[in-house]
Amino acid sequence: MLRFGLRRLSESLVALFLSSLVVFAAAQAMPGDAAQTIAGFEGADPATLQAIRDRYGLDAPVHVQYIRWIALALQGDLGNSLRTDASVLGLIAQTLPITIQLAVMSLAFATFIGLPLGAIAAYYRGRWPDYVANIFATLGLAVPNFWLGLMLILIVAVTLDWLPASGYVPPSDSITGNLERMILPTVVLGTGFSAAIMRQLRSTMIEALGSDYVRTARAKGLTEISVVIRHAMRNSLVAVVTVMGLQLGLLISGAVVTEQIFVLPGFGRLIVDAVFNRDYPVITGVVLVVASAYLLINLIIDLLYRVLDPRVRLEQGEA
Amino acid sequence: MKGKPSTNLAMARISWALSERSRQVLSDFTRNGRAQVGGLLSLTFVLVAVFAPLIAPYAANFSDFDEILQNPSSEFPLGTDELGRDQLSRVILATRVSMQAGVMATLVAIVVAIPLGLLAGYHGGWLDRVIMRLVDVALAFPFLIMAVLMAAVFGPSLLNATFAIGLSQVPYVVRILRAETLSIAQEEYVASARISGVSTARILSRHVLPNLMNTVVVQATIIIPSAIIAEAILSFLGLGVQPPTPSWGVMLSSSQGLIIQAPWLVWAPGLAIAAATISFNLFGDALRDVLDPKMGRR
Repeated sequence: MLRFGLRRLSESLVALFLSSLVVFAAAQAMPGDAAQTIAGFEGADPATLQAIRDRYGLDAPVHVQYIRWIALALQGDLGNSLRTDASVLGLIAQTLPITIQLAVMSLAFATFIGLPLGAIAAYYRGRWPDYVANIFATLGLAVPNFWLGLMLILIVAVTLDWLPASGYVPPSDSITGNLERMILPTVVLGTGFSAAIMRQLRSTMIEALGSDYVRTARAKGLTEISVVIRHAMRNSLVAVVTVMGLQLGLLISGAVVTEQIFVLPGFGRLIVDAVFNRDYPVITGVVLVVASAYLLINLIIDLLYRVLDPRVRLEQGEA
Repeated sequence: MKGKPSTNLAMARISWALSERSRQVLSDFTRNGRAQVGGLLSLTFVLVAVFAPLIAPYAANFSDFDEILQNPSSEFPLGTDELGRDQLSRVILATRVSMQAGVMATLVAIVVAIPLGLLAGYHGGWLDRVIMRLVDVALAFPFLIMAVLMAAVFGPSLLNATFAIGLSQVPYVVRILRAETLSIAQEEYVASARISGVSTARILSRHVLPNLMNTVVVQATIIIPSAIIAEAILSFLGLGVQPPTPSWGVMLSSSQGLIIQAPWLVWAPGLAIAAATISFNLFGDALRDVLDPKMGRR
């Protein structure tokens, strides 16, 4: 386990290093003269530009610039926004909690809808509850979430006036105000995931329901509900967790879109706004943080698997 | 099985089996109800895209400033937008961008992934490790983040969005093709080809690649609908198609600000995206059932 952990960790570090190279290369390739951009849009004279180049080491060879950049990044200095001069790390720290709240609520919503639907569909395979659940899943996966968002705004917020259409209230100001505004985004981001969870649980549970141990559980005289939930469903959950892990990238992408629709000041909005404002330090900073977070979470998931599922341990040991 | 006298020539037998198999695939496919519906709908979308200018009642950017934000009427079945343009015509013409992005992104993904998957799976060793490490790195950039980065470097456009969508699918396809190549490489016919001194390039192109094609087609059917949605998302965010070119995503994005004055504008582009995605999903599901019975429905 320790050996595997170390190997996996070193792989992640290599991937992280390569990702940082990608981000750095992209930053280098972004249009415009960096010194000019830092100086601002007021016409800077050549002497000022040279001073900026000296200060930031922009004349240094590329690898020196990379080392300097990554050394600062490791100390938490991702530079400052070109527009507001706020530190990029500060901006991320400010926006990330909103995105995390959205993501956690969406996953909870998706599980709450997806698990029962998947279990019911598997149990009533080929009968009407299965068809209803399948139609839901097909629509959930095909309806683009931003359109769902617009329709919910139109129907729930504008026509019925049940919930506010958009905006954000920090929970410290008002918990109900915060939750009121998070409900629609949660539904929008969570629906696609609930469909994915439902499908995955349905297919693994169909297999489980046909297995020997379920037959044994039935033969033992356990109640049907206990057979389904404690035996068939529980064993199918590992596959569901896998699917959710694989969907992490989709969750990040979905959050960017959802925040855009509902005007939530999360990190997705931060990066999209940065693209339009050509605020390069913000773009590279956010991308670097996302890539690192992604690699870290995947590392944790991989390690957890080996703890949770002895079969994985065996398979990887053989390979 | 239909009876067929066994011939002495193994080759003849194989070619018969192959044609029998492809006939079987074709007949399974045409008999499958979902395949018929999905195929027909997908074909409709492609035809609408090809003949869009002939079908649309108005030109894409024809503005009538006397008819701004009109409710749906017999003259404008889906109403008009903030510039007095016919919404129906724009929804029809936007099919082009959507289909183009769907197909091109899929081609990008497959063309890049095939050599990587083949080499990683067949060559193995250090090449495998290098390619798979690069795949890990690519996976660390979720599709939207990659699209944002590309838009920042190359500027937002349909072409860049298409590449971002296609490239973001590459890691998944490489993983699957690598695994498939690994198992094909262990087949006896590959071993015997290698023993008879056939070159690696020839083994890959004549023996491995043809056997990968089912998997490639299945992957393509998975990518097309998600690329259609991805294009709409990027255009919605302003990172893809730029106005005034009609695109479902762009239309939805401009309708968001008008949701109170002109709620009808929100319906059609979204329904079009959902319908296109469902059509290609149905088509893909059915094709998968036929090509890859092992996989079954997921």
